[in-house]
Amino acid sequence: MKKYKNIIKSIVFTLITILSLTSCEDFLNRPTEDNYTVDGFYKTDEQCFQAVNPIYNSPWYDFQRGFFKVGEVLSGNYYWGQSPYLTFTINSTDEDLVNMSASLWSVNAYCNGILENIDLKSGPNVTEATKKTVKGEALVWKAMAYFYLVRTFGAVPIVHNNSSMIAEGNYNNVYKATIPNVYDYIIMTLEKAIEWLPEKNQPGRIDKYSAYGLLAKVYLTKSGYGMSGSRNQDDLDKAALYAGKVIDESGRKLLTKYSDIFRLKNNFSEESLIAWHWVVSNQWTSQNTLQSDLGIQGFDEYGATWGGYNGPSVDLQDAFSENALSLSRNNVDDRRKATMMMVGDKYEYFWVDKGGFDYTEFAVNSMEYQSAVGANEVKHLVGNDNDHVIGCGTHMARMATSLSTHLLRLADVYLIYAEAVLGNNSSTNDAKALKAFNDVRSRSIHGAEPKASITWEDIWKERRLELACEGDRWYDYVRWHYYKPAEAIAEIKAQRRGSYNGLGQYYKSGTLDPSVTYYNTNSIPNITDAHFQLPFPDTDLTMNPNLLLDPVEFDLSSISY
Amino acid sequence: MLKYFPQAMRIICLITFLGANAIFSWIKASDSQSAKFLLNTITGNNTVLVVQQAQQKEISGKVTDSSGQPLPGATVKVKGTSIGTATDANGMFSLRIPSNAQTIQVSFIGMETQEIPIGSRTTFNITLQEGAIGLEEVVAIGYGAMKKSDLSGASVSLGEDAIKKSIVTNLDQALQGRVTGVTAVMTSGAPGSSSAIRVRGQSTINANAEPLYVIDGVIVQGGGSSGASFGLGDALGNGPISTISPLSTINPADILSMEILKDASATAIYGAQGANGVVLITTKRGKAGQAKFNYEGMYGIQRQASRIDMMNLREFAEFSNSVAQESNSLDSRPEFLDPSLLGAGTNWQDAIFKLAPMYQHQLSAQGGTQGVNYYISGSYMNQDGTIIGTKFNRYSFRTNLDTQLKKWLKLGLNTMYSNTDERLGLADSDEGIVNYSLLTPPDIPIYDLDGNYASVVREGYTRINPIAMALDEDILLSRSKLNGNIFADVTPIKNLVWHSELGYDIGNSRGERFEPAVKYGNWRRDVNMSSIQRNYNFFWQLKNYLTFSGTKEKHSYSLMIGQELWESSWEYEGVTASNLPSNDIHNPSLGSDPQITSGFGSSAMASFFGRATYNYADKYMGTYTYRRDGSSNFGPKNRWANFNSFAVSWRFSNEEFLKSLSEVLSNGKIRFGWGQTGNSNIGGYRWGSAISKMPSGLGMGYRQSNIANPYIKWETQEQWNLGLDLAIINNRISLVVDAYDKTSKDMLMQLQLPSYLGTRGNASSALAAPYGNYGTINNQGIEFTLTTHNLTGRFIWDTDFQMSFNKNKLVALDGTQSAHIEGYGQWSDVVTVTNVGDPLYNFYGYKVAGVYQNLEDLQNSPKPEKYPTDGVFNRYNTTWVGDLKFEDISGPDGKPDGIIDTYDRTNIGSPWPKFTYGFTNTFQFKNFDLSIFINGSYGNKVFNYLGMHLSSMTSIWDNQLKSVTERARLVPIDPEKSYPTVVNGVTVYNWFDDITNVKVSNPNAVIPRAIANDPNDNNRISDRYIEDGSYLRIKNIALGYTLPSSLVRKWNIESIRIYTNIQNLYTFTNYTGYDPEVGASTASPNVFGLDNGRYPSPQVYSFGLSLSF
Repeated sequence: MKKYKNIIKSIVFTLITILSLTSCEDFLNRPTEDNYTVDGFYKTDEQCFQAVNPIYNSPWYDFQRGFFKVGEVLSGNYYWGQSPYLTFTINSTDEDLVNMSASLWSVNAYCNGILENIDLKSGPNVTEATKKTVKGEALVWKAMAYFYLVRTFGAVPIVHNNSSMIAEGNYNNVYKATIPNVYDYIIMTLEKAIEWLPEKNQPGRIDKYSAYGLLAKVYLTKSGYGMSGSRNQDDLDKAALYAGKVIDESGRKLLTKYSDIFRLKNNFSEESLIAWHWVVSNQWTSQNTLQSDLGIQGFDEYGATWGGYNGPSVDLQDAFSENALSLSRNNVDDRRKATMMMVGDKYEYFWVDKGGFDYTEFAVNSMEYQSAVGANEVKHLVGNDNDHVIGCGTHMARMATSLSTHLLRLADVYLIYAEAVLGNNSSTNDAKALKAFNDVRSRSIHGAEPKASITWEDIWKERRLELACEGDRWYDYVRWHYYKPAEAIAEIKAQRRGSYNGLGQYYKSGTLDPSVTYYNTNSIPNITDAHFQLPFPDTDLTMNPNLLLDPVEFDLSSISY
Repeated sequence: MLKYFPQAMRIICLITFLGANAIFSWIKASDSQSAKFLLNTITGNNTVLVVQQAQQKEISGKVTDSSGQPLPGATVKVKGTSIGTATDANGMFSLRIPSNAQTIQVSFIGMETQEIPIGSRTTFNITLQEGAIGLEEVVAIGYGAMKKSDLSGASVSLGEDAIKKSIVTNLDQALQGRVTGVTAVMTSGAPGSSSAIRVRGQSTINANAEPLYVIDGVIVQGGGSSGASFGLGDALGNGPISTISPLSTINPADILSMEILKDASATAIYGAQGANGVVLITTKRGKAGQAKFNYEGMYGIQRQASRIDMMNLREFAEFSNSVAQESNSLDSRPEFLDPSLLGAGTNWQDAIFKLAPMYQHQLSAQGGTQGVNYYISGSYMNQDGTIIGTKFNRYSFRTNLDTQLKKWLKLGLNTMYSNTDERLGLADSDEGIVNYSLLTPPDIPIYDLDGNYASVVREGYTRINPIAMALDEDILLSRSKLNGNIFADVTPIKNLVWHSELGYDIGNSRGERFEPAVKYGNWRRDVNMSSIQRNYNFFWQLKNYLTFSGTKEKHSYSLMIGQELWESSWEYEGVTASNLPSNDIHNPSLGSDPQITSGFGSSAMASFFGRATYNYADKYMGTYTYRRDGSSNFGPKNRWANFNSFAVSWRFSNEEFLKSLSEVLSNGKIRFGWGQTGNSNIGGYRWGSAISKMPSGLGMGYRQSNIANPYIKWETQEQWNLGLDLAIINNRISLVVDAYDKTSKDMLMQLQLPSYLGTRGNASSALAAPYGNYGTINNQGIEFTLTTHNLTGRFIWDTDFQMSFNKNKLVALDGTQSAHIEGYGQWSDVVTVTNVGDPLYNFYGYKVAGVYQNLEDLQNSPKPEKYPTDGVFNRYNTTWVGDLKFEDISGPDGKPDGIIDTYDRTNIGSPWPKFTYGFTNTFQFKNFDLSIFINGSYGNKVFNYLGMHLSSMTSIWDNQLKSVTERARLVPIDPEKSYPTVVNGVTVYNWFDDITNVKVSNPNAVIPRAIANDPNDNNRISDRYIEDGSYLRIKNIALGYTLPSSLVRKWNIESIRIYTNIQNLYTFTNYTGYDPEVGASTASPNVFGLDNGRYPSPQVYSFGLSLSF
């Protein structure tokens, strides 16, 4: 019997040990072990900057195609065979549209998250200046996202604080805010950013003048909304005021050579006010993938370039006085070659290890000619792997380069200034406006006679040539359509958006046979006023039917930063 | 001497019997806990033998199983008496019986009891059939064991025999069609592929809806189910599940039985982990006696029986020409000018499918001496896939030991080691081999003239040669697993057993990918890529439970209380690099900029539980269980939860007033139960916000990865179950019926938010929406199993029929009225929408009403989005004759509004079957045995996503289904009309540009006109692609022959059985894809039954040999 007693004792002892162990909550308390948590981050200045770094790339990743297709294909600057953006047949389920929407709203959510986390979680060692700078950067990105949203989709809801909206559970009942409402929200956001941002920030980061530049563009855009035939003078004045601040006070200068802007080594150039700063890494979405979409098959070693069949449109070539049905190039304007590669073009900055890139050799002689318009894209391309290493010291990867994408350049601000000063006049000879305009133009057209007077048409065309294929053109049409809808539609309908037949045969043989090689007049796009607001993605419409109703005025006084 | 023989024989028999029983009961006891139950079993079942003297005669004989192996310890008794004996180690028995005895009854655990008329015979050679587990059988119930007859909950047993009858690589494949209430759908036909097992319907939105698997008490650890979790990135798809099966590391040949616990009263003892059902697996153990060896060998050939009707080269050329002509947007290809000159071209389907061998060898030894019993086995299996480039192999070893150290102490040990090696391939998805092989046109050859792979890149066509992809790109996975436990049963005082057990599951895996630098024709990849990831998983569990049980007169009872703790930790390191100098050595560190990934983490659970059972006179039975669980997956606010259940049953056939019917009614029982279970399968730290790394051009970045929900808590499920067990005419016919109603509340899921909250888009960049408790799902169903022994005697015919009905419904979802659950096809295309009140994962889209016949039809029908507002029709940009006419179902006001837009999307079919069924017939005649197994599913819809690509006509470089030749063909109404002419103010040059002069020549066409940019969006998600997925499949035919023992004895062999087995012989279905058995999507959660090129299940022809000596 004694034996049993011992056994029982040991059982009881073991059980007590085990029970006391299991009752210990520590055993079950397991936050993420191999990563930081929100509560443990934002403790130093450096961590605060690191928290805002991803907003310069990752959430924008899914917008890259929409950025290009809306900005350039829809506007007629770029031919993209069979794309609904070429023919204005975009559905609300369109993948690029859905991704674009998801991406822009993702930026907004991250920015709101940073504002909240910096306020609530940052540690005592974080300086006030850092907090302001970081929040200011987030505000500019937020404004940028909303600026794209309002110009693409029109009226959209105002999402000021994601976590409180989720907590309150009313997220599926919100209404769209009116377009002026959204512009006011963007202005309010940028004004706060200007208050918080420093005059000068670390290279590549947003500073006070980035915000001023964007604010100028917002005012210029907004100036035509709700107007007919002319623009709101107050808005134009503000646009000129803020653009003028950037020109006069920022100390930034245009780069001397146009094509340098788009090279890797100039990712952080002073001409760039706001840019996506991509990097090749093992985290998907950190990288620039535009070379894959726009480059010719075999342009780099990674087997993932498939854009050879498309290219800068015949209409854009016309604007540069260039003709694909000719073997000689018109190189009056440097921007032509920096925008589109055509037969006869050679690039010293691509394929450096092979002595430069010869378009004719590669696209005509080494393969079946691909482009349907006689031109291929140059901007957003890095070159081959070696060019990437030369440019930034690291290798590229499949669907990945580290090339920054410039969203707001100093040259853009110069032209904004000129246009704002011109305002509703037919022409201007304002000295400062002329200087801004001529500085941009003469950089690329060597020996160009400075203009003594400029019209709206001059600026309109200059913007197109300067900013071609940088994802901006459609939004010029959108703001023009605000106050001159018929003109905007008429210009698009008149574009040469079609393709050529038989270019390959022409380029290979060198002789033009008009029965083989000719321009295919594509049918005129069925563009209407409705196309100036792209449809909201399907999923949102099913979740929140209020989005189908008229916008409702949002009380901006109820919120603040 | 001779006259003493019978006496001596009796004594030997008696001793052997007692010994065998003791040993056997002990095996069971160590396996489970309740020694007392087993003691009851022994005494109740076999009683003490009374040897009668008067009017006796002597009978003798041998008892064997169906493979001819002797059965030691089988009970032989005279029916209706207590006269009986047990067989010896060689299965021999002899017994003195009253000369007027009519029938002997032979029984053995796990076998069907046989009754044999005695007549004048004195020797009997009896072969027992493995089969339905007898009522007296003790079955596992989780932390214990119980007599089958005492169960009040709903559970099903699947014996070794059922597993053996099918050709299974993974144990879960054996569940298909054989267990009521369980639907098993293979995710893919790849060797070793996973299955989607749903016990009583899908009851959670979570990725993990699979049941809990417990082997000999140890929870099986999967180590992940997606390719990404093994370091294979998205190579196997982006969904939470892939074809990788956590169960393929376990050798099914070691399994003795599986117990599938279905209702909450049965699973509640597993508390938080039981909501999806529990599968208890018992492996084989040694039986006392001499060492016995068993060899099983199998060789089979697998093939793909069906092909999709694609165009050959001639047809493709005609198609290409006619599209060029119809759309005039493209030139006719000069090489296709005269299709009659062309051959058949490349048959890509024949190129990717192959005859694939498989084989398996298993050798086991078992026996027992002096309180130590052992079972040792080793096995090897090798299976090639029927899609080129895929293969699977596994070797595994098992040792199960049981020792009786003291009278009051038993120790046991189970250990299993296995190693699997797989070469995986992505079969389904847009970039899978199946899609690529079907879309690659027949004018591209597999090889060029030099014998290299050919690939042709054309405008908008950049697909790699699928053969090259399958064979040159490596997706490799090897896994090893060590799983087992050590346990002790201590019996300090009578009626009390303390079971203490330490279990472990240690897993390692190595996932490797390699993409070579290649040039196939003008398709090239100049840079190669290599990646390797190693994962380490360590799981331990400690459990202790005390069982007190006893019997007093007609009352018997048991009480169990216990505690369990487990911890699971994981770690991984991976390296990826590109730009290796050559394709020869697959080592990422040879490449440029190698990228490292690494991580680690853990989760844990602590639990307390108890169970009380009571049984009165084998008539009234009741069980109550309780469990309290704490999980590290939840925050301090809601970490712990309680789960209760009860079940009662009434065995009315034991009532006095029905005793008179006992000749007819062998068993009758009504069971009723209710219980709660839980689910915590969401991964760790959803209650807080983690930060993850995201490099940027400005330097390293750290982003918030999710929105936290500190209040996240347990998903709980409540289930009612009402069951009836009925057996009549000496168990010749038995019926089990169960009806249930289960509701999952506080369903754990990610909140589905509109895109303006910023949580949508690329999973690598988007802020993840919070996880929380957002919904309620209900499943109701009824299950039948009918087992009949149609013929007994020399010719045996048994039938087993079972059928399960389940109805599934999303009852509630938090958020607003318009909240719903979405599932995506390949990327972001919504293919399923689950609204409140509907079954889960309904396909969602438009309904097709036909094709527009002519201008008048266009004008008189509801207006689609691309209907020109100005009335100027255009072939490229607007809706046109021959486009699909969709139904106008609703509008902003909930009524048809004459406009075709998103309001007109609706439920277009449910992926869930109305019922599933299985039908097994087994025959035995002399030494032959034959089993025919049919299973099927009725009423489920399959989304033929593959067919969508194969009839889209968006590129003339893609091969298409032969049926697209029956697309809407446009012809001029007036062929004589002269052009150019002006229509609606626009000059047109041809009849096909003239909307007023175009009509459809085949008005009943279901496929729209060919137009490359598809302005009307004819290829939108619609019921055009929804097909009936019902099928009836001749799943398995097995024919075996056992060599006469008189013959094999001469070779010193105990038994030899040879057999042949045909699996998936034929499938009756209307589905036009390869295989209607389509389960969970590997591309997206919340999608079921979407066929985007699912690897079809192969036919298998095999033969095998089973040998024991």
